[in-house]
Amino acid sequence: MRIFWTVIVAALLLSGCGKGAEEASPSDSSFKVALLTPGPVNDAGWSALAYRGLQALETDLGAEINNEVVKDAQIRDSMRSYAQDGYDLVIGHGYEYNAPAVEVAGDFPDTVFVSTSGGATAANAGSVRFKLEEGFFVAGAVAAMMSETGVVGMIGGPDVPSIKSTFKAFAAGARYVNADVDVKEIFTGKNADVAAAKQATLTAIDQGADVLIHQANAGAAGFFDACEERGVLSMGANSNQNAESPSVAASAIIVATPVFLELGRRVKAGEYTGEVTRMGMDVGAIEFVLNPAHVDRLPEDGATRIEEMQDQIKSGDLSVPMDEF
Amino acid sequence: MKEALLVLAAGAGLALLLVLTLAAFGQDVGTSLRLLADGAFGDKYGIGRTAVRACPLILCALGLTVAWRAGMYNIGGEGQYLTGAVAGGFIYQVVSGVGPVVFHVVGLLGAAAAGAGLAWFAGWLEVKRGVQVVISTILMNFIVLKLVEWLVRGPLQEPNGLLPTSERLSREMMLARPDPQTDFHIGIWVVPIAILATWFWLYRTRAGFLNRAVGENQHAVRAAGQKPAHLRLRAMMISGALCGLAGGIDYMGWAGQISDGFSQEWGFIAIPVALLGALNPFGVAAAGVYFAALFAGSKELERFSQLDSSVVLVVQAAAVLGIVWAASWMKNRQQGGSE
Amino acid sequence: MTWILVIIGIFRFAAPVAFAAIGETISEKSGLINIGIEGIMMMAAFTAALVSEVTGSPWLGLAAGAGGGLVMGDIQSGFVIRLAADQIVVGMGLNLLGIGLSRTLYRIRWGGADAIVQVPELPDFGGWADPVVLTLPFVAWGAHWLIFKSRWGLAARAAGEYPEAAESAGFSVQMIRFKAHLLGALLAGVGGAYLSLGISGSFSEELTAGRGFVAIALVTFGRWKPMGVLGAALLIGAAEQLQFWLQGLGLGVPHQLFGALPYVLALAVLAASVQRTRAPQALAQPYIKVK
Repeated sequence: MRIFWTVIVAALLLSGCGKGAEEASPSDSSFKVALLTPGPVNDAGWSALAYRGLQALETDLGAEINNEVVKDAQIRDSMRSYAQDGYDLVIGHGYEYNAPAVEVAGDFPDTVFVSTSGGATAANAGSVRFKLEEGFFVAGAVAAMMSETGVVGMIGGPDVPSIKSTFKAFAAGARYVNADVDVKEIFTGKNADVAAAKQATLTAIDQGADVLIHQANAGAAGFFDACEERGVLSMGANSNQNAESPSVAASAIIVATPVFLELGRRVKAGEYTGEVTRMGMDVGAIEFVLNPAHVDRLPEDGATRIEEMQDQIKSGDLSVPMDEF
Repeated sequence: MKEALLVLAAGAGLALLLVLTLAAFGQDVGTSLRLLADGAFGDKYGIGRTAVRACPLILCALGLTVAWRAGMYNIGGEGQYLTGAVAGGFIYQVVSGVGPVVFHVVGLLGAAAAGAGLAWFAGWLEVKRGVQVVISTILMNFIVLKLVEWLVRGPLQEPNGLLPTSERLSREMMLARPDPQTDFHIGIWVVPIAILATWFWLYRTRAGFLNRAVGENQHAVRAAGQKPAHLRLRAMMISGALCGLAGGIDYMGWAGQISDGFSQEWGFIAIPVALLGALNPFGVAAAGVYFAALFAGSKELERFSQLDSSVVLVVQAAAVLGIVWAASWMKNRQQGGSE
Repeated sequence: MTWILVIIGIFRFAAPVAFAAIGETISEKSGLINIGIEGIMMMAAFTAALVSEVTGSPWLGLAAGAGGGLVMGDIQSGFVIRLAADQIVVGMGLNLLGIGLSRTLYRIRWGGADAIVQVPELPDFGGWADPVVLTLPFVAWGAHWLIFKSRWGLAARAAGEYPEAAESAGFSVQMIRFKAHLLGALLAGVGGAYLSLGISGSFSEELTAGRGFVAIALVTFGRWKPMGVLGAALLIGAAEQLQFWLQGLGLGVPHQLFGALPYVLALAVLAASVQRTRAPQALAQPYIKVK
């Protein structure tokens, strides 16, 4: 009997939560695009930025869109299902989708598989490599400028290559400004463990860090919470998170929408060829956004140095360390 | 007859719960059910999807059946399944140069042996140290799970040392897929063989008879001059071997590599499969296909309806609890118990 | 001074799993193994976060979280006690239900949010401790008293060891197990609610991140004694804190192996124990009343 209660309780809770689920938009379009994300698209970060791009494909190109949260061993299965259902473009948002994309592409030549990271390609599979490292390099430099203790921190979720690579760039940026800066790096190993993210952040702060950046995915709430609690500065990643907490000094962000639209146009026109496209600050795909509320922490020439640094990155005069994976 | 009724009752209970769940979340029940059925059986893709899921479910559940019949409440299918896959991964590192046939034969034997070894340890802890199998196998499941997460970043990691995954098997090294667009692979043929073999062993051999006898009355077995501890350890090893074999087949035929989330909890889901199958190999086969279809279909439901993927978990919960409900109700009625 | 702060920090982050594990101890002592704690904690954490946001009161949220745990426990007890169904399978079902339902409701409530979810948090003293975590030692002590000193505890332990004997001594095994189970679910609910309101001030789909399973291992590791279980939780919490601390010092530690620690220790305690059985004899065995 109790299972019926469950359903009733669920229904009650649902009505309490109000109407949230949007109606399906019946589309007779022949262009179908799926986006696979490692987490829910309300993370105000990594997955959210890709979902904005997907929505643009719907509004601007009339694509029928679909999003699924899919990780690890289920990626290949999910890609095959979309291909079996006749999808034209399957975008996997992260490096971990690259190898499955290339492999599944061999079985389904009529579908294009693109991952937003990674280096392998096939005739109908490739990747768009966002050079977020450039944003993290500038963030590291700014963190070192703002730090009073000479210690900055990086809090990661899972210790995967893409996150490690951005952290290397952050550390390089910090040392670019201050060769003696101490950089703390702590991974929780989990994707959405808010409490672990908070504990890791508090640990780094207790070890002296007073400006910290994160790649904690859905655990980010714990990161910002800890920074607020101890009154230190934080930095946002992937999407503009300057409004997420009063502690945020700046964000290193990815602007994916124009890239997704261009990709969609080429796939729709049948012009896609498997390739790795690198998108950085020079084409506006990566940005660094300061929060005006904390610019007073910068040294006097800080603002100009940040501008210079970004110009040098765009022109290629300043090379940012970047792992290939 | 009893089993058939059980499955029917469970099926009816499930259908009812499914409809209620879908309705509670404001879904169009007809469309949802059609998607569910299409996803599981609608075309060759659907049948393939169901088959690759039924494979680990049935093999693990057969394994659990053998152990439970001997009175060993092995719920470590998940750990034994993963151990089998890991053994396959290590064997690949050694024999990858020799060619697919050697790799498949040695790899699957190794996978079964590794699963058997882990299950034997749990059995040994019970018969020698008095540690209940139900507790030790729960703990071992999680130990192996964490160990695999470490292994794919350590000794089993792909040669470049970047990604948290084992080296990807090339197409030739994987169990062949007759139609590359579907998921069906030749390793699945092991399943009907295992079903028949388990049935034959349990009901047509002396060893199988003793296996069932020790689960029902160990004193009688002892009086007949047999050692219950021996019989139970053997049951655990067969159990672990079947679960390990499932892991090896999935590694070589379906996943092609070991990474986080390699098992989609097949070793756990095998527990209700074994129960619903009334610990009879043919019942287990039917129950395994039923759950496999549910999981294959619900994936499609999740992808191609407005239904959120998280609701599918609720649907699966309803499926598991619905079956438990129906099975217990039937059992209690037969026993004239308090329900 | 700093050492006291470190210890309080360990208490704080160990609290969710400690509450759940103490509850599980009570339940297991009466013969019921509940592997559905993860689902209960998720549902409680969600209910707590939702009510805290809607009412603006984290205390109401905490109460709602505990209530959410109770409701989940009540659903479960219908299967494992009234129907005498298999406790492992029902526990699995409950995990699926709790995780699926909390995730669905979360996506409906906050899925369209364009900002990180933040809900009113429990008040604390200078960012270090809060009233809930301070109750933890007393809860453990209370559970100890209940199990080992009270008359009800005697009956509960009998129900976990020799249910038939307990029944013939005039106790209702079903009623005892029902109460023990609900108490366990209530404490798991408090643990889940504390996770979202005491620590995170937020909710995410994998908020509990396996803590419900760790709790099961801790019961074994703590040898089915509430104070021992609390000690086990604090030890594991200290190991986690140490692990983060070492990472910050630049010492790489494979944290997956740290994740295996509670289970390995629990198995080691079991395997090494001289005394044959420490788990309740009738653990995980359904009890069917013979009329």
